[in-house]
Amino acid sequence: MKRIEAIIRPGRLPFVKEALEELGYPGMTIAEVKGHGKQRGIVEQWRGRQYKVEYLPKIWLLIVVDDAHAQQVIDAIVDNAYTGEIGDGKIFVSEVTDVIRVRTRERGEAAI
Amino acid sequence: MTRTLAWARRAAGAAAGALAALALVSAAAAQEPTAEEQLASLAGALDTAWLLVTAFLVFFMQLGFAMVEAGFVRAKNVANILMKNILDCAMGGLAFFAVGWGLAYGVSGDSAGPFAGDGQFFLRGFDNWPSWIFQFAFAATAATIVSGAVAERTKFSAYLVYSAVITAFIYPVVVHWAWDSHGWLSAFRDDPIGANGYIDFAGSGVVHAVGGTAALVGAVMVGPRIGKFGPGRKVNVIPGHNITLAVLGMFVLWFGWYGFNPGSTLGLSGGLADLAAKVAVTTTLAAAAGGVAAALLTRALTGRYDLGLTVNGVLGGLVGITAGCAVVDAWAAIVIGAIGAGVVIGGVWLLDQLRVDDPVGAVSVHGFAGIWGVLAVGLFASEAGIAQAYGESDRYGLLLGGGAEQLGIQALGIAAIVAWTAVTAFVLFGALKLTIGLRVRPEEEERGLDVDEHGIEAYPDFGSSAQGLFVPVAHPGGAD
Repeated sequence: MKRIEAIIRPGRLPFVKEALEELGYPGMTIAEVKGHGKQRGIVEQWRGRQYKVEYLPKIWLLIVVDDAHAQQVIDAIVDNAYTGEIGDGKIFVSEVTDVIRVRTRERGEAAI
Repeated sequence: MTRTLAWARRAAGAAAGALAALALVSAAAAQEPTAEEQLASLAGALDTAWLLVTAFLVFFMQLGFAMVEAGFVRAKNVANILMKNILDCAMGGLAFFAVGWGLAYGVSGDSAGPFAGDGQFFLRGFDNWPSWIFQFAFAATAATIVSGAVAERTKFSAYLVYSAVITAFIYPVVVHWAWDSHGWLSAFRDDPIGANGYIDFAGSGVVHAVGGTAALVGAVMVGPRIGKFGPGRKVNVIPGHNITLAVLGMFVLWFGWYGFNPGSTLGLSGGLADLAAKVAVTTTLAAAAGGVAAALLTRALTGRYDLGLTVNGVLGGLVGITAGCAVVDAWAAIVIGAIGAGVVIGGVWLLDQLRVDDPVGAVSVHGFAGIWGVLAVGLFASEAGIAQAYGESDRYGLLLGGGAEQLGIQALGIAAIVAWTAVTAFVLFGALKLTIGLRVRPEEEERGLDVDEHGIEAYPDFGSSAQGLFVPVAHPGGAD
């Protein structure tokens, strides 16, 4: 099982969500987060004086899938989060050793 | 020289209307009123109605001030600035009732002195209601200017005392000087200084420069917000929390200005309706020119069309035209408004260099542009404009060939007004600093004034407070 964490633009979330639902993954967890990458924020202006906004709003998206479908989920996120501009985000993939559904106590892939 | 009858009653207000109505009542008891009596009664009622409606428009500017100031401060200080806006208006009403009117226009014997009125305190022996409500609305405007300049760090109790003193004492004395028919600067004296006296139709100097000067003294004495100025010459950026509110507030102020300036004809009968309409046009053109000038100027200086400074620029145009709105031509209103915006933007930059922290630009908008507006009368007043509003005169704007006398009188007037306000405000804020203190504790300032002073958050369930303080970046040709 793979844990897929994606940091994406807030504006791309609806498209990513739609693509994942079409793939058959309606379940996901998201959080509104702030951060910056190499570009280190953007420059804004208040009453004539420019300043750096160091942390930009992003969406942090968590989804756990079985190994066989990990690549197509990653592709769906990349395709739909992509704009080509700096700040499109990153995806982190890691192994998951176990999953437990609290309500039924199912374990492993059955619990995903 | 002649002055129109209606103008001679800036203080007397609708007394003529009241008299006509009284005459009507007594006449009705005896016999049917004549057609002339009925017409006079109608004209008086029209003038009174104009004064009331424009007073209410000027009062509506309180809303504009509250919105601009709330938008320009951080979320953690919104409740505090709103509370100050309520209380300077409310304290101002009581103070203007008790003392303010008396010092501005009050008469106890035959005539008041040149420096202050001396009667009708607590409105004893007084029934000039339309004038009181109109003048109160102006006093409340002068008072509310300061709250923005000292926002986000000034103690609420100190601000309360300040707002009572400016509406009871500092502002009314200036009104007496400039607008009462006994005032030493007044254009409505029998023997004014020079040919025309000091011309400040709706109060670039009397209202705005008074508020702006007090705001400057307050901002200097209370000191900058924590973090506004870094080491060396560094000026940090503290963005306001809601530019939408600020822009809505600007439009409310612009709208209210249609009471402030046109209402200062104090009536509509006897040709004053035409003057009021002209004033509405010059007011519009100056505001428009201020907005365009600020947008283009900030684009040239910073590379972007700056919204916050354009808000200030529109207001700078409005403040600039307030003195001369009745006596300048339409083209001159555009020049005055555009320069007013430039004065504001230059003022914002200058105060940053001097390390004076004015979160909303009140000192630049009302102080610097107010001074500019007074001087602009001496440069741009037209012969026909002065004749229409103040009576025939061969002294008018320097740039229109009317000689330097009017400019000199305008400079004398505004110097006196700024000096009076600066000295009295310095004594006031100094006394507050030594007694109850001007400033909240640093911990309270960092937490926000809302929670400690008022036990309330402006947005308790709406997001978290932003960082709210930013290190500036260098930019080509920018304000640095």
